[in-house]
Amino acid sequence: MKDRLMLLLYIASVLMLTSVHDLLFLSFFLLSLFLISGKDLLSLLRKSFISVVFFNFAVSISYIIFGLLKGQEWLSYVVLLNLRVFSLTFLTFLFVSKINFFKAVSFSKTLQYLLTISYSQITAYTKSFEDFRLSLKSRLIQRPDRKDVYTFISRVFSYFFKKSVENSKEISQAMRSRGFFID
Amino acid sequence: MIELKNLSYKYGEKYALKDINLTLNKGEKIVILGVNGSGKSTLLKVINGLIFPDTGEYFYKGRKITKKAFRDKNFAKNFRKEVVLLFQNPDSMLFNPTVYDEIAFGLRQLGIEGKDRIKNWAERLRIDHLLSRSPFDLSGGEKQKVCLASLLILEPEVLLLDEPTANLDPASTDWLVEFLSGLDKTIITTTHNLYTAGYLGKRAVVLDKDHKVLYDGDMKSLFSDKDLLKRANLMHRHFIGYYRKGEGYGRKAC
Repeated sequence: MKDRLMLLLYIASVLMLTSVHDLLFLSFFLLSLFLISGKDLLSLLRKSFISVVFFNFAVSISYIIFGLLKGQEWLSYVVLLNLRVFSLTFLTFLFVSKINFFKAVSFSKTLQYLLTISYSQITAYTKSFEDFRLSLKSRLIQRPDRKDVYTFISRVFSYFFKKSVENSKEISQAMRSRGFFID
Repeated sequence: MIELKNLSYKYGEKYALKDINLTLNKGEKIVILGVNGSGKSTLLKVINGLIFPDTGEYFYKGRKITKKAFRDKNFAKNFRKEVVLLFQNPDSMLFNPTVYDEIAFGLRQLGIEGKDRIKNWAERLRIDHLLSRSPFDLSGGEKQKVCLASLLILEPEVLLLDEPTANLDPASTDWLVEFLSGLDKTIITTTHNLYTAGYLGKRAVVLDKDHKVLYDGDMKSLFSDKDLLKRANLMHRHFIGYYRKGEGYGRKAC
């Protein structure tokens, strides 16, 4: 029950965070999230920062350039965007760390199925990615040249893309075979 | 050559290895046995200097292996040349456009072209007809051989093999086991398959579900200790059948 309530609270908070545009309110909200996170604050901050830094940087820079070229005010929008994205990410990590997701969606078998599939995919992909990283580390005798780095990155992307397509096909076939889809 | 002292490693809060004490001598062929999740792969990653113990120590040729040790460029270069790891999933090791480039990757880093060496290892591993092919379109067994060639071309001293027969058909398994037994190197192989274990080494190290060393000794004695095999969850009823007849696959090998 507690997990379900937390899920409702999370959904309400997400809706609120995406609809409120007041900087002060968002700042206070984020501050209260920091307080709730307690001793996990540093690790959650780190995770959230790593997750959003590239996205936020790219969008902010693009908007600043656009604003400067058009002669529009850009500062408040950039601050709002960064604050909102960071708050949403922090909230999500905090939510995931505090509750049991599987219990929270136990009211729906379909949601539980989807969650289990997503979770198993995330775990498998994380392990595969770690293996890629370590196998390259293991084979590097010296600093790799740029060409090797690009080749490696493109290989990892194509591997995961292919694997995702294959897995999706297989999962949908398995679900169909177990009567998940009604056709 | 390799010494692990009271070594423990944790993934988050969970132990993957607990109080491991092992000494491995030059030229030894050792098989690490254990059920899935007992810490076999983690142990190889520690020995390969990819991850570092939370507690305890690891020495290679008398030098303590730590993150700091790898900051010494010469040491790191020699270590990566001398100690190599074949990952369980060959797909995670392959990234070059052709089999030739894949095998040449290590040599290229050392500034050696080594055409003859590449050809020689490709022939020894029976993949010389695949040199111009993309490694990603090969069968599991062929990929495994390409990975092995790309490691052996560096002429390493220690070969770490993570479940090398797990994805192979019986014929490829037979070939690989025979090939490995002919190599004059220190070889540490992990497996949960008793059938092949006896062919892969004379010394067995068994990890239990608590990630500790349950047994370290002669392979022959391990095969004669039915209770130990059961305790380590390594023995299933088919093997017990063989065992009763006294003609177990592994026993024969020993």
